[in-house]
Amino acid sequence: MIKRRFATIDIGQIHYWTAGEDKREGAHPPLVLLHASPFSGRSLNALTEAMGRSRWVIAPDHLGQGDSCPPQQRDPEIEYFGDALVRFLDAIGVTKSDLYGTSTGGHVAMDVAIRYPERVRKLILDGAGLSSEQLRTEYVAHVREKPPFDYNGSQMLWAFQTAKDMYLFFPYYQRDAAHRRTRDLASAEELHLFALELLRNHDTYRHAYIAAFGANPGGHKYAKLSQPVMHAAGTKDGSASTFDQVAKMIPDCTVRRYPGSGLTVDQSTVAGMFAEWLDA
Amino acid sequence: MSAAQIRRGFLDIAEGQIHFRAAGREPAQSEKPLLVMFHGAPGSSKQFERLVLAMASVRPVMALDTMGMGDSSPSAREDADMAYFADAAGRALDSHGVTGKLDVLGHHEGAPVATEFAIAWPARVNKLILDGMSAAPTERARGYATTLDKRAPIDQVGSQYFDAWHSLRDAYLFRPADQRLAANTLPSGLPSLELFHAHVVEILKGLRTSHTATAAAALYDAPTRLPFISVPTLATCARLDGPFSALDEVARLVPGCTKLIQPQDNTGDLATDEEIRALGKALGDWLG
Repeated sequence: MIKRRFATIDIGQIHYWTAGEDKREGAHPPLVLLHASPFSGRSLNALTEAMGRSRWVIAPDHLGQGDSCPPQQRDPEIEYFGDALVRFLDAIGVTKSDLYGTSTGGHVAMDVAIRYPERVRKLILDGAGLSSEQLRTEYVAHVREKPPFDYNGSQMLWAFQTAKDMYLFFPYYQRDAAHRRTRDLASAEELHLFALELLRNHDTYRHAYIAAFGANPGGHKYAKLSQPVMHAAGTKDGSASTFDQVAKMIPDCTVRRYPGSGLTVDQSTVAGMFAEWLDA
Repeated sequence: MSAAQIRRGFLDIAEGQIHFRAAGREPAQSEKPLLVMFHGAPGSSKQFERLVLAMASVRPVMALDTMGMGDSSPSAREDADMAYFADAAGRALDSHGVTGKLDVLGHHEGAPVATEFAIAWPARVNKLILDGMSAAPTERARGYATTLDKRAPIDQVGSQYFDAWHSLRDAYLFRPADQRLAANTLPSGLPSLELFHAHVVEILKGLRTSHTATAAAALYDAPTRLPFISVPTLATCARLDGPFSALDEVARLVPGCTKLIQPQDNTGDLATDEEIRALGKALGDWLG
């Protein structure tokens, strides 16, 4: 059963989802799952639950997303989020773990793996790719814009529309035929919860997002990873076109492809693939 | 984190988790009892943040999200009554090791929970505050309760976002909120945008699940339950708060009850920061 918890670090509280807490002293190291922007650890609930059957799983919300406190620094870079993660792990008594990261979570995971190699045993990067400087610049400029917030309730429309268009377009703010994605729209329940996360973090969600876009220009960090790395991606993931290039850049790399893409994949099915590699 | 900040956390019980917002010293380090608060509906302990902080300078305070609202898990049963919600809170506090004497405050729909808590555990409750409690359910309240089990629609066009926004807006402008006529005009405007937005977010969190406790509160037969209270009780209300006309009856029904008309006119989000601080002091003075 998944539980929610808070841990306190110097700048506030970090919220996390956890399963398998009773396996703290078990045979497997704890597994830390780091989510994509602009979601929260909730987006990894199915993976948390599935992996929690065999080990202690911890899925924290990035600063400013989900229920975690916002960053306390102007324009924080990815290292700020990595350092906060390490302080959080210290607060809950985790000194060494396996790490899984997707999107923003992948960038935070890589930062911690490179700067604190002794804390990370194995690393799973889900959907890691290479993005053009033009896309990064454009995306950051868009995310940096403050969403509306007024008595007309404009933020309600903004939150729901943004959540919906994340499923329909890439990038979500280019709503023409050329940027249309072909996949199911999320269920009403999922859209509701996702839009609600944007709505309650309308003023803080962008920080981790922006930091992630500036974290790995040209993919220079991939070569610095010293741990065994699983480089995994859905065949329909946005990163699919650069999958092979990334694989060549990671020194100790195991590649895995699975059907679908991050937002729509059945996480309980990929969990078996991750567990098998982690425990090999 | 300092004692002057809100700390959030979860208490585990068999059927899920109860979320809380707390401030002040840890209960074990305080000479004064922990003050436990039960909020109104729909909403969560978020709507108590200013009062929690105002009262936490002299006592530990913990405001619980009612099950099905805010960040608490849904209630285990669809037909749960107020005694269930009080029992769940009691079990949650047990799980947190809070076994000493408590002060208990209930606001609006939280007042019946506080009442049932005090009736179930008289030895555990030091003092009880009933803020803006309603008396016997009216025909309108009974009708309202029966509409609540039709769960708010959640759809792929986001209707619920506008429904929640306008339902709360109109609750500040008309009474009853769904009868938008000149004769039903309330004298108030809207709260600050920040408080209003935060309240809508909390309503949306519990959209699927808040009806259980809200319906149980609407059907709560206060006149038959209040006489069972045996702890020192303060019945209080702000002049412009909806249940103000019930204050005298609530105070009469509770044995040995003290009555306090609040120093400010408005309640909840509509009260200013200064008024909330004054209210916190008035309630704190009575608690001692």
